[in-house]
Amino acid sequence: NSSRDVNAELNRIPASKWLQYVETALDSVNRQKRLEDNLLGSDITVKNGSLSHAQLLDTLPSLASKKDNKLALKILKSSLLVFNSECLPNNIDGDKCRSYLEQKPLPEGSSLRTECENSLKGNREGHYAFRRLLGSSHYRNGFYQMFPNSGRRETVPAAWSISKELYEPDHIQISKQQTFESNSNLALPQWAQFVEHDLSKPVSQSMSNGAPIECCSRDQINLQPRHHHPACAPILYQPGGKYDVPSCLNYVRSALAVADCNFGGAEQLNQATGSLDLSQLYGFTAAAERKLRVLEGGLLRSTPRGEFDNALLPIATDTEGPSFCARATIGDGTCFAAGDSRVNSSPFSILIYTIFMRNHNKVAAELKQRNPRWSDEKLFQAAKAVNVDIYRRVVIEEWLPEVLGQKMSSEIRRKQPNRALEVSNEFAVAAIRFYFSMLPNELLNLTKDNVVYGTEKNNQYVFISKELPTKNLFELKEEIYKPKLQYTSQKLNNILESLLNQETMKMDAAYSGGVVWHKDTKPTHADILAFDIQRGRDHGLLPYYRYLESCVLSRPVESWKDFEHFIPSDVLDKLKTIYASWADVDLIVGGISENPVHGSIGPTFSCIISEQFVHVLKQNQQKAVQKHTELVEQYRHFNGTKLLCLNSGLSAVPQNIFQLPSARNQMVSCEDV
Amino acid sequence: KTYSLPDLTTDYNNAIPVDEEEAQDPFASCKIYCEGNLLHTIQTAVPKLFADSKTFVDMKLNNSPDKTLEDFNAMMEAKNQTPSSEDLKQFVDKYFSAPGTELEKWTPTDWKENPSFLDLISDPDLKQWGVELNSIWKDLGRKMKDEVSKNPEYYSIIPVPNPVIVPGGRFIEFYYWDSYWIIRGLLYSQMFDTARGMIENFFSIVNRFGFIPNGGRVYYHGRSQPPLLTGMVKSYVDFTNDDKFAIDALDTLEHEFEFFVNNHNVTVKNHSLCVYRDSSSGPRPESYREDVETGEEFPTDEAKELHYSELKAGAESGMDFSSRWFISPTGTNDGNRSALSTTSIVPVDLNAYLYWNAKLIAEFHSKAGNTKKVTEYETKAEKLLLGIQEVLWNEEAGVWLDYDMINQKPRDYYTPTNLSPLWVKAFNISESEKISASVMAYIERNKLDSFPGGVPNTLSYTGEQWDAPNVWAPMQYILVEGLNNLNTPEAKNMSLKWATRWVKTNFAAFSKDRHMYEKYNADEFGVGGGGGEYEVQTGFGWSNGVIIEWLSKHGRDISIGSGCGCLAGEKRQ
Repeated sequence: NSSRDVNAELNRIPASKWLQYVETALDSVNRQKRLEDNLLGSDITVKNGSLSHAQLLDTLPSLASKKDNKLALKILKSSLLVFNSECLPNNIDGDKCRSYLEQKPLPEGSSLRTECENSLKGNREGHYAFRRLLGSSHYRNGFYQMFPNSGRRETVPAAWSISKELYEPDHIQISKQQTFESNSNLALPQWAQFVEHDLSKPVSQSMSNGAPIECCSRDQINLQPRHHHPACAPILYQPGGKYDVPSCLNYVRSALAVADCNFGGAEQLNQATGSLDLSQLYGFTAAAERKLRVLEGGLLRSTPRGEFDNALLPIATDTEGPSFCARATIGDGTCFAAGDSRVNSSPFSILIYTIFMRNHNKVAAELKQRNPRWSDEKLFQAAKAVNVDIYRRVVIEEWLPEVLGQKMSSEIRRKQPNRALEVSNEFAVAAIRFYFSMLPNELLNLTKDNVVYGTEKNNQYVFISKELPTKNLFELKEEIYKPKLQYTSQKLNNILESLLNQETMKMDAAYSGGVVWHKDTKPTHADILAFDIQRGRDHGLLPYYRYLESCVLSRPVESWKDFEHFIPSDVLDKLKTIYASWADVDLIVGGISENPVHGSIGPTFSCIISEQFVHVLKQNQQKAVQKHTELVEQYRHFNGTKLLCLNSGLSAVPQNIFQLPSARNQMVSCEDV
Repeated sequence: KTYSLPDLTTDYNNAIPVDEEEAQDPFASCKIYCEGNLLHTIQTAVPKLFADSKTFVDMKLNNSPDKTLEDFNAMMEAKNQTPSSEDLKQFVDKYFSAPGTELEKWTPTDWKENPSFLDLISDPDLKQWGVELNSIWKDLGRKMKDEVSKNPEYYSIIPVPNPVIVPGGRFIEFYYWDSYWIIRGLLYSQMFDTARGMIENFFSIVNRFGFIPNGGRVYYHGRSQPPLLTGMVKSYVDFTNDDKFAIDALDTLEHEFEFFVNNHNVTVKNHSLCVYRDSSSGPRPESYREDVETGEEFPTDEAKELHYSELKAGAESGMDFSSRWFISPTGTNDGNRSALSTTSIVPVDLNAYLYWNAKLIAEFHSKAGNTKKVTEYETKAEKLLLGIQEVLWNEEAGVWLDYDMINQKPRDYYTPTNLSPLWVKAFNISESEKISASVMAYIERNKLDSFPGGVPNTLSYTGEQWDAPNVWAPMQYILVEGLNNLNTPEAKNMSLKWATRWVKTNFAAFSKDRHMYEKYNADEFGVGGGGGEYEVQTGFGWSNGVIIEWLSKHGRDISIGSGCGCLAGEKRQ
């Protein structure tokens, strides 16, 4: 039907009926609390230390996000009732219905409209809706329903099955790595993760009383249907054969945002801010920031280890612990606190949060020395401004060219949109997640005791040879949200030095065994690729080919053949086996399958990331802190090398911190910075 | 406790001939499938062996029950009573064969490509759907292999002489109350022989066991399901005018009726009425692990056993499970399955059906000219009706309500069965206007007309499959046909409205998914249901039966809308 017919049909609904739909939907929302009581009564809840706890930390909602989500779900529920009562029975499909409802204000006189308007008037710190690059979501019913993995129609292959199909045993990945020519070191994916933490934080839904939602049994098998929360979309793996108990990984659907006070479909909430502001270190709100401060000398909380370049992040308190680490018992090992719950997601993450914490405190101390009468508040904000500026410049001028290539990253700086837009869904849950493909499971011990350097006459250090590492510093799969390492300043130095010396894995469709689960047994760690596939579907991302069309081809994709130019043939053959149609390939899967072009990633992800950074730069401009301009200028000379030298115990750092040391990327003595 | 069984020495016309020398214990395989350490060990293995507990108890034995137990005990002794998961898998692999192998696909010989009900459908898309529904009978037809009747002790299946139409999905055998709506669907599809064969199977079962178990497996031996056998016979006679069939069945029908009134009776307010019950011990074999898990909340074996009994009584109700059967310490329907108190609740539907059975038996006796029997069963019906009116009718609510014997009060919670007396006409016709007004007010008060996917089974969202938001075909049928029986304009209008909505939401689901579902979601238009212990099943017998009947009755009045083309093949990019 034409949109005029749709409008004619739906415009006939009287105002009293719209009001009734809202009230009926709210009744239904209230009644569902009984299911949640039953789940809690049956102990169906996230246990400290479980895989689900680790997953929760990756998507931990704030109180403000929970509140927004509750309201957004009421609006969605009302919209779905209209869809089910007026659209479907009259053969109006979901996308057309949603388009109509997105223009339809919540009815006058309804409590929901009042609640919504009050909410939008209040303070907005983060938790905006993610943006959709192509303007449309991709749901089975047009609003929220994910496509099924089984059945006769509109099915997509299960996320975990895709991950298993794409997996290559680690020894094969390592042998393929030998033929891969790359100069990039592990700082590149490390910083990608850090940038992600800054710009993007999808969080999970919670029960109406705020409790986290569990979608798997304690044994990582699926729950009885009676214990399924409506927000559950567990990642299941169905083994073939007689003994057919599916394995289960928790997936709770993402929290929704209140974008406006109209009816409409699901729009996910971004708890992070859309600008590069080190909010992952400082917290997303003023209240969160306050908790992280010493409130003296402008300093951030830390765990002292002598000088600033040795300090560690603050240890999470017993109360804070379950919000930062997935441990059964508090006090069972090191657990750090920071502005974001993801700080303990890996040793790489802990390290870079530590670096910027140290830098903040170092700058604050310098400023205090020079300005003894400055207040704590003034010192803090000044140090923060400097820290953020250094961070921005390293990201934009050093990291981004490595990811996108020099040409594309330069173009970003020349584009000037009228208005900065929010973070795109595609950036948040697909493109920026490329870094997991580049992470090895083991960080080799590549500190100078294991590396031989020669000295040339101009006193430049040059990498000459490498002996076999004596042992790994850590295995990633053992550390995710469960820090086992005995973190000391020296340990962090070793990690930093080693990651600067270790080559990245190629950005491709094969992830390391430490971050995916490829066996048919009960999982002991999560499968990050399966999670990303599932989350892309939860967020209603369009299939990969739509972005390829829009970003690269400028013409319609019509067959698998259209992918051949971008995806290696062996990977494409796998995708043909996995997916029934090229039209089903998920964005994350298509993106990680592409061959890198100018930088480290393929054209589609390059397009999405560059588009996002155009808006990030605009956001940075719009939010520039004028009063610290002069001060910030004084630290203009800071670059990545200096940042690492001054905030670690390293004696030398490569000129380009994102590339391996080489004749073209010489080591700089930290004594010289 | 055991049920009293009728005298099995009488030779019934439709029974399997029983030769004394060949007589076998009908539950010989129960020592494997119904209780005991073997069942417990396999069903509670860690890690879990089967996704669905029903899988194991549907597997065929490769050796006799006694040898299987003997070898199992030997294995357990060798493993010091702590077998590994691999040990158990090896044992199962060696001693059990795949489930469902005792039944083979069967195409009904009386299947018709163009049954006459299709001519009653105006809308071309609905007509096409009717064609496809008719075709599904061929997918659901099952015939037992001869091996089963020769060696029944190797199977958990209950052997029956005639092929059956099964519900679908995990329900690979026949079920009792499901068959009522399947049989009506078959009759509308002009498959009279298949329908008759299924009814005769039930006669055979009553004559062998004294009652009809929940489904066609020995592990259902402790409980029945809502008594609709007599209703099936009535349906068959209505379609075929074969009064002799009903007359010949009277002894069997009486046995089933007496089974219920003699074994399920309670006295409340000086009236003898019935409740749902079970006579077996232990967890349900087909949901063994689930029952053991909820049983863990109970401190003693005695308390656990009481809980298992309540679970199985709930299963006998057909509405397993629902907050309908929860009695909280304060007498409300709060709580979860731990609060199951099915045996303490006098249910409207069971008593309404028994009333109906008595009326039908009297009717059949009347055709046979047995005036004394007519009087006897009319009297039984009148007594039941009086009990229904005085114990279950609730003037304040304006409908019938279940009665809580613990707290001695009516249970004022919506469920379609609160209107089931309308379906079976267990009310005074002279009060139709008054009842219609109070029923319509009840519908309005509970906003039962506000759900796009049908009228939900309850208004409690507990996660149980017979609670909100789920909708079930038989309950829609009871509501719609009941309102129609009131025969007032407002009740008939609501009846047609709800029938139309149900047809349309089922059609939407079928268009989208190409499946008929066991249950649907009242909150959504065209979506299957969820909750309970197993994933929603497809097939599905009673959903198909109800739709076929309503396409026949209302097909001229229902239109899907111009140019829907919903059943056309899906085009990909």
